Amino acid sequence: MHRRIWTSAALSALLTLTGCWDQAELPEKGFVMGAAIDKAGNDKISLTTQIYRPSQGVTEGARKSETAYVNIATVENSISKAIRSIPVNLGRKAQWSHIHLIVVGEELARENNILDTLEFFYRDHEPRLTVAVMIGQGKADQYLKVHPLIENTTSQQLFQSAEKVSTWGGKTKYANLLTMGLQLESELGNAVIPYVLMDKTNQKNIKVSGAAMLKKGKLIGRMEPRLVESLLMLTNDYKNGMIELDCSESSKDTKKTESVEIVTLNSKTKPLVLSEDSLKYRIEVTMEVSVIELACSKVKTIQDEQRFTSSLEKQLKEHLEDTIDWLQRQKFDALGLGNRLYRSNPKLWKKWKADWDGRFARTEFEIVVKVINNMNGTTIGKPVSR
Amino acid sequence: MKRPSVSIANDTPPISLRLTDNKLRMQQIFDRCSDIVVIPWKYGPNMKHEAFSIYAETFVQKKEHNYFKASLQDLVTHLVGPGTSVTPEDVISYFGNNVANENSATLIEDIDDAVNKVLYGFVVIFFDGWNKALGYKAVGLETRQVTESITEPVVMGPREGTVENISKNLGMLRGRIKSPNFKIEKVDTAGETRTTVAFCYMEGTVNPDTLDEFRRRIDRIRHETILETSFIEELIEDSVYSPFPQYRYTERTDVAAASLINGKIIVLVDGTGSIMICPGLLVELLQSSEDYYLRTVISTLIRFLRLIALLIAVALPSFYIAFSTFHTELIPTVLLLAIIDSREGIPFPAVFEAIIMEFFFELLREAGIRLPRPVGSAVSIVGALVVGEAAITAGIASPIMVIIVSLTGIASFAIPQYNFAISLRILRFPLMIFAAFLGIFGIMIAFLLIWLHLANLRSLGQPYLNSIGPFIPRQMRDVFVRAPLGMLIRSTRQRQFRKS
Repeated sequence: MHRRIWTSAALSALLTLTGCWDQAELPEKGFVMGAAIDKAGNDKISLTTQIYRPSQGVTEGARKSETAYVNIATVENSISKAIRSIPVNLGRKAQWSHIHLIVVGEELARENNILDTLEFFYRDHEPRLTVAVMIGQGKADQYLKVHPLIENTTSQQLFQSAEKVSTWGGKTKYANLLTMGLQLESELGNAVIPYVLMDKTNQKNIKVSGAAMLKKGKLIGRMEPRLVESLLMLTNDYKNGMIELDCSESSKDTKKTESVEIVTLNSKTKPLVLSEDSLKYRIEVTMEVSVIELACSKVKTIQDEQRFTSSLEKQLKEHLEDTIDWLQRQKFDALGLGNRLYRSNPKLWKKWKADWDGRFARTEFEIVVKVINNMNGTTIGKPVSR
Repeated sequence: MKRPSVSIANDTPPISLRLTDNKLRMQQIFDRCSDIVVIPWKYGPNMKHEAFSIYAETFVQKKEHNYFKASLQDLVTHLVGPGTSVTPEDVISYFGNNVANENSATLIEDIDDAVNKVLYGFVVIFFDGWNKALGYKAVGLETRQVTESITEPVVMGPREGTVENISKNLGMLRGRIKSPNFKIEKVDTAGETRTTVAFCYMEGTVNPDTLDEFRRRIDRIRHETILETSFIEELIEDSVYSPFPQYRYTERTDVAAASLINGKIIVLVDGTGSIMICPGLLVELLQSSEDYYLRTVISTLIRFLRLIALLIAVALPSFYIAFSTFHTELIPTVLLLAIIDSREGIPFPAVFEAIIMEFFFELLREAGIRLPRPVGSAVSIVGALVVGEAAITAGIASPIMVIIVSLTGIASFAIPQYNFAISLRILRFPLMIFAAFLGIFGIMIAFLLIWLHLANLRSLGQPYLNSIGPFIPRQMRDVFVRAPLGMLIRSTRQRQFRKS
């Protein structure tokens, strides 16, 4: 009995030896919501961190005049040093475990490999790999300075924007550190990540639209949203969205457009010919659509529907072919064909790796689009042809 | 003349044939007991025979104390003629031979027995010339009515609670279990209180080893002063310092009857209504009698709720401390921002805040128990105001801490057994200390220590974690879920005694 008491007293004294480990009270930490990395003069890097500012106490009205965040800008030779000088300005140690967004400035992305720039976020234990990455037009820190519309912080707004636009609109391709790293470290080394820019008409709005193309980690250009849409369709990444078609009828109606919602979309890529002097791929895109808005076609009879469906297929095929042409002109294999070749035939890939861009530019593509009209909005829930 | 004293082991003096000797001796024993009265009588032809009756005035029924007259009436009607003709010889021959009489007199052989009987509420009558005495049972204390038990209310089911009188309680139990296998054994304790203790069991269902162990332990404490059933609990339990109770309590006769049928031993003590049920296992501390009166799906879900309430009551403040100071990366962002908002500007670290708030809550609880009824509602309002609103507005406590403390308190009220809920209050504070030093790792260590202790604990020889520790699949029907009664009762009937 006594021995037990003494043993437990001695063991509980061990508790005080732990040095409290990594304990820190919540008010001692500054929680970083987003980061913007830019090129500063003299080969330095400017890091702007957006840190959440808690409202003081529960009294009302304490928050209204101030923003929920504070932007700290530090300029140093490397990101790690810049991070260490945040407490100089803020008074709290930065906590990186809840960061949601990293914006890299255009200039920095063009000159340095993005993986080198973001190496801290890959190696450190605190930030997660699910942080969204995007390239910002011009300077990156201006995007953190804009007031958010609904959310607490702009970082949250941008990150959610990228996610939602990618899933529900198809106008950009969402990427986080993990997927970007996988893309850049693959055999092909090409990545497509979201692009953010300021609205030219209204300086208070920021838009996430289009995608940035990264080759070997460096920014080489931007894709228009329309092209990104087709790209997502070709790579089987398209989830949901609405597409517009021009009216298929006479020329006087060419200004009107009709809309269809794509419910599901699947695409399969198959190599047909893989030889030294010619490459040919076949891409089949199958989709189920629902009609949303009609301006000049009618879908009352079976023939009408078939006509509508085939015009839709024709237009989509044109769009996809246009996109591929554009990509081939840029010599940028965004479809991941190099990776496919590496997976199926590594010896061939090793031979062709050096001049793959040229080969990609000369590749022929056969595109087949199949549209299934699922819903016309009728009360019986089925289109006429069923 | 005095009879030669028979040498008995404990040397009880016999009743003398001379009345004055007896009277003197009784008055000596009850010196300065002003509620024990001695009333002399005379009877017989020419009123020349003497007797006296001695009884405790305070708890003998007023209307019955004239037992002397009643005893004479017995003699008159049965044996002899008019009252004036009764002689001591008649008395001796009539009562000494235990002839049937109206008021169930008992013969008393020696002085100690006479003293005991007076203390137990009998009216003892000494006759001149007779070396025995008569005792008439006349206890007439005020007892409580049988009402619903305050601490164990139930929505559906019987509301018969126990009273303080052991005979009434045993009567209620006997009325519920009309079986000759329902054995009641009385233990006469020594000590100053000489309380009557009774333990009951169902022969054939109770485990004989457990019963033997129990008997051994009761024998050890026979000479102690027992005031309440909890005295017995402390004197016979396996681990006195453990925070976990090893026996259950109830104040309801239906719960006691159900536990008897399950093979438990119950202990009743005169003077209190708490019935102790031994052995008590951990899984039973989470069961309530209402589970068996409601439908099976509802009872199962409520049992899950109780398990979660158990976890919350013990560990919620510790989890909060561990997560907010050590593992902030595990909290989802939006929740974390809400917590940060509420914790900004609080002067104390999370640990101290938690301990202070818990301490206030415990104070409130203790104060609430001892409140006189007129003040009761006022204090609860004041408590809520002080601890809740004012502390938040003054910036001493954060709203999230108040939420956590209230949730913990509410969860601890959801546990049916009161003495188990108390033990959880003890365990909460060391858990908080562990969480403050080592985070989740500390909580894990603390839980391990608690489980180690529980695994070692025994209740009357049976392992405390009985259905979970030695995992008995057949008993899982009643632990986390409540199987339909068809399955539960059939097995009880089939098993005679089983080593559980």
